[in-house]
Amino acid sequence: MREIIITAAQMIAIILLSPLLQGVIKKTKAVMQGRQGPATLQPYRDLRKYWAKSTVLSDSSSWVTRLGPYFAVGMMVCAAATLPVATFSSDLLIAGGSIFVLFYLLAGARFSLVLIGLDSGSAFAGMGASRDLLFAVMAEPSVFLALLAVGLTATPVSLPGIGLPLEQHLSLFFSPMRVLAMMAVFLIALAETGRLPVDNPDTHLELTMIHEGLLLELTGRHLALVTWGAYIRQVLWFTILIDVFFPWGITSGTGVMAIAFGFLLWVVKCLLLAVIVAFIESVSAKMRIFMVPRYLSFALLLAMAALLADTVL
Amino acid sequence: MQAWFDFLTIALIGSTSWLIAVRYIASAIRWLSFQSVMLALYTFALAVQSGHPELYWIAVATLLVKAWLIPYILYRALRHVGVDRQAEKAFGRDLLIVGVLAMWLIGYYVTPQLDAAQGPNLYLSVAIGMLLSGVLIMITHQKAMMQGIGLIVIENGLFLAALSTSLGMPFMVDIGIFLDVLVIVVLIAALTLRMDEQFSSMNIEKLKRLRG
Amino acid sequence: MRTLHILLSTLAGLLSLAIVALGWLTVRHTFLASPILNYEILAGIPVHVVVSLTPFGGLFLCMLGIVGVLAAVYGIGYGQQYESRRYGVWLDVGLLGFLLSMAAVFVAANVFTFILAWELMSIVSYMLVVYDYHDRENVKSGLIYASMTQLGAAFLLAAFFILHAYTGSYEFAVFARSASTIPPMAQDLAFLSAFVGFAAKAGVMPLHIWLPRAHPAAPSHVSALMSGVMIKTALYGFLLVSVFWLHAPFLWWGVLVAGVGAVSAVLGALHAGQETNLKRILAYSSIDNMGLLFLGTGMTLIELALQQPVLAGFTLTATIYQAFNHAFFKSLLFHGAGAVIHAAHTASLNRLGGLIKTMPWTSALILGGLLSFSALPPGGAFVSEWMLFSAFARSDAVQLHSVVGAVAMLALLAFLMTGALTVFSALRIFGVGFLADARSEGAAKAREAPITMRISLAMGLLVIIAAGVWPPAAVNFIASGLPRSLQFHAWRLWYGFDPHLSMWSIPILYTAIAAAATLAWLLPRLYLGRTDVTRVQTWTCGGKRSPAMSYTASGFSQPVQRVFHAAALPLAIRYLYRPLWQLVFSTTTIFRRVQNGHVRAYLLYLFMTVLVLLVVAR
Repeated sequence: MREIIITAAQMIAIILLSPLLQGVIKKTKAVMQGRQGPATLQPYRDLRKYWAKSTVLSDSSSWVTRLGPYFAVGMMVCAAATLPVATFSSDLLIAGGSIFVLFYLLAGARFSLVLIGLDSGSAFAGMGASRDLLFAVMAEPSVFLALLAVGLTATPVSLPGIGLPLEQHLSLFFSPMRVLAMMAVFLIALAETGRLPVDNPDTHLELTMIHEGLLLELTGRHLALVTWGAYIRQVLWFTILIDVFFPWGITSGTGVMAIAFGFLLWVVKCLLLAVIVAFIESVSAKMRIFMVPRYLSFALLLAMAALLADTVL
Repeated sequence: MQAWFDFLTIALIGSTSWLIAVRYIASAIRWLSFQSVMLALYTFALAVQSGHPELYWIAVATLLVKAWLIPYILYRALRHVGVDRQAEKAFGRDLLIVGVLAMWLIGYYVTPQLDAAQGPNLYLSVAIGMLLSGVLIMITHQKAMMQGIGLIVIENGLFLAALSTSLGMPFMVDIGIFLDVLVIVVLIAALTLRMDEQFSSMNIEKLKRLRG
Repeated sequence: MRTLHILLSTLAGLLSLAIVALGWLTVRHTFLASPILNYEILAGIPVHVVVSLTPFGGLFLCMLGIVGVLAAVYGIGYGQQYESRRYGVWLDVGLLGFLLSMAAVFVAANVFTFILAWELMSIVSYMLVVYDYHDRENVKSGLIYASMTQLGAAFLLAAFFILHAYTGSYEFAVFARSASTIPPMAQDLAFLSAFVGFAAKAGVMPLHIWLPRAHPAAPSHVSALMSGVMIKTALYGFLLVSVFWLHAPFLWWGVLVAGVGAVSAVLGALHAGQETNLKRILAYSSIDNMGLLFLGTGMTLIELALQQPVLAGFTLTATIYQAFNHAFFKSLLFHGAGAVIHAAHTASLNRLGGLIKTMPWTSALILGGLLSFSALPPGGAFVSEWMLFSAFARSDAVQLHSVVGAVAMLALLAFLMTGALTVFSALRIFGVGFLADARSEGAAKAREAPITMRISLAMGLLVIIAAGVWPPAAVNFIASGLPRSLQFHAWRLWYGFDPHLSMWSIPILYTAIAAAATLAWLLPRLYLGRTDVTRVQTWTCGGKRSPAMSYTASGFSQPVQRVFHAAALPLAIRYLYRPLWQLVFSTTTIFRRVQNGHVRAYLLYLFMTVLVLLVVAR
């Protein structure tokens, strides 16, 4: 019973904190660009605005647009439940935190989003969908291989299994394979969350709205849900990075004080990562779309090198 | 008696060698007729020497069928054909004569291996030489009529081979063979007429057009 | 005519049910392992028809039966369009024959019976492929299919005869006992011949050229059976030869099979993403899945060679589980494609669209099938691909410090890339073909499919979900079909490999997804009430919208095509088949000079023969 409460608390925490993270990234970028920028809590206000509005649907769309957002968000929330946030105890996680389940749930969410986009028959959505899937084709193997590189000896291959040894032995951090894998996962995280240099989340131009294109025809509560889902996805990727590469502070038991402490550390790490990501966004320009496969195959090479470094060394 | 046999054998060799080199089909038919007459005389002499009564009948049949009937059929077919009555040869006359000589040599060479028990048999080598010459005639001439003549020469060679080794084949078999050859010749004559109708030529190379 | 058609279809359905029951009993109770039929064809000639039920064959019988029931029910509605033809009923007869011959393949127990059943299956399927012979393309496809089948059969015969030569018997039971004692060179040869022979039937690259042509040409439920079960007969045969009989003693066997499977999987998935004909997409994805199954088989062989029986058993179970799931969802998809093509009169994705509004039930059921196709929950393929992933990861972990680890890594890479590409294909099929607006008149006028076809699709979806909702039961069932040395208990599986595949994970996961989605809908509804919906035209920057403005299938796949254009080269045709054809043609041209139509040339041949005989032969 206790476990369920803790899991539910973790999920709710992720859901509630995700807009804050988005706000922090936007604020940091604005400061770096010498602007005032929107308020840090602005995403919460945006979401409230979306909830309040009525729904306008395209006349080409069907029940996929009406039901799709719920499934997308449902899958993302379940994916959030497979991630350790404050504790590595695997009883709390759905499917024990298996990375296969995690990434396939994220793929399921992407599946629903693409269908929603194509449902309206809009050309922007079609373009966004085909490019998003191109990146997915190249990114998915890389991230699996990178995580396997660091977690191969864990049985099963799950996030607790990968993160726990590092948490207990600091020296493991300084192996070449871990550094390579970290770089690979970081590059993929930037691509999957739709941040520069892969995609520009601030504009709505055709060429820079790979993710935004899918949302173009959504309004009202559907838009609120899907936008929130995007924020949750961002937090999930940051959490993956934290769990696998910077897990210090996450406990392995279920004691209340330890969990509270771990949770606090997690919030701090997420904010730090948000600032780093914002910094990277501010200093890089968006890549031409067909340069992105090169970027992603670089990430794949890093992941494969990490895995082979395990073999050779 | 032996002289008869030798004389006839020389006549056979000569007619076969000359057959391959003739220019006109009509003269080829005449030489064929001559050859068959020689063969009939040979059979007659053998009949006298050995005393088998059937051989007399076979000699008469040879004379009738091979020396008269078959040339007659061929000659008639030839007359119906148009202008071109030359026996088209694929190679020059000299080369063909050399070829025939080669055939006689081969015949002479292979005979000992064939029938070592009965001792050296000159007539058998001549017969095999005639057989091979017949095939050579068929290969080196392009007119359908000459193929037929070559076939008859082959048959004559076989007949001679049978006579020289075992006093001829059983009577019934001989009659059957006569019938066979007759049918073949009729077919060749008909084929020649048809070819002449269709291609205005007896050249069997034209048959290649029928290939798929 | 109509009653006869319905009667025959029902008969096919009942036959399939009987096959399922037979398979189930055989797997559960292994007392039927000895030959149950040993029939001498002609007195005096030592050729027997031997039939025996093995647990392994029983597994595949279950697969055949389930897909057969679905196809039979579907055929009731689908066959109506052929009724008006003179030969309409023969389709059902052919279906019955096909089912029987495939069942015979799975129960055959000696070489003669196996080859007899194999060739029967090929002949009947050939006739069904060219059933619609008015279309010239179908006839040509049938010809290519027949030639590849015969090529495969030739290699199979070679393999069987090698085994016979060294064991002295034609019985499979004898092979199972003594095939591992024959000399290594002969084992290698038998393995290679069997591999080529079965690969030609399975459609792995580069022997795949018949599959994208034959499967679209056949009627849809025949395609479903062919794609779902017939290519698995090749997997069955190959597993029989390499795992059950020869026990995979050499490492390079598994590496070869895994390599071929990986290439086939990735290239098949890439091609599936480029095609625009709906059925050809499904055919290429069958090639892709067979590549995946051969990849799993290859890893099993590697693990057997490295003396890891438990891991090998796990990988083999995952492979067979994936085979089952593929049979289920592929048959559902082919049935759906048949319904769509029949209603819209076009098979090109670029001309479909809007079907979700005109054919709501069919579209929803196809969406369910596509979810399983992309290995997403719910659906059995999610679980089986999870198991395959665990198997490969475990294999890599075990063989970390050797070259084999690199092989496992490449296998993982191929597996994951294929997974992403199949998600891409599924989205393309549904997004372009079913959503938005109709792009052609045929699609605009499409009506819902007949009720029996919809029932078959619904049954198929139920089977797909049922196959994945309780993994322990499925794994136990499949593991009972494996050879005794590879069997493992479920607890060992859970404990040793992935405890979270255990009892409750999957149902909990599905419930969690459903609960989260429901909450996401319920909470706003409760707090903010219903929302009023307005319908407007899709945004086109202010202009008038036409259906041609939405993305086509070709446009959708253009980015992937640009990035992977090097992989789309017709390598097999260019480097394997074209040289072979040229060789055959140039050889026959040489022989043409011999048989040139000149009478004198033939006479010359006779003459030379006679001379040679006279002079040389004494």
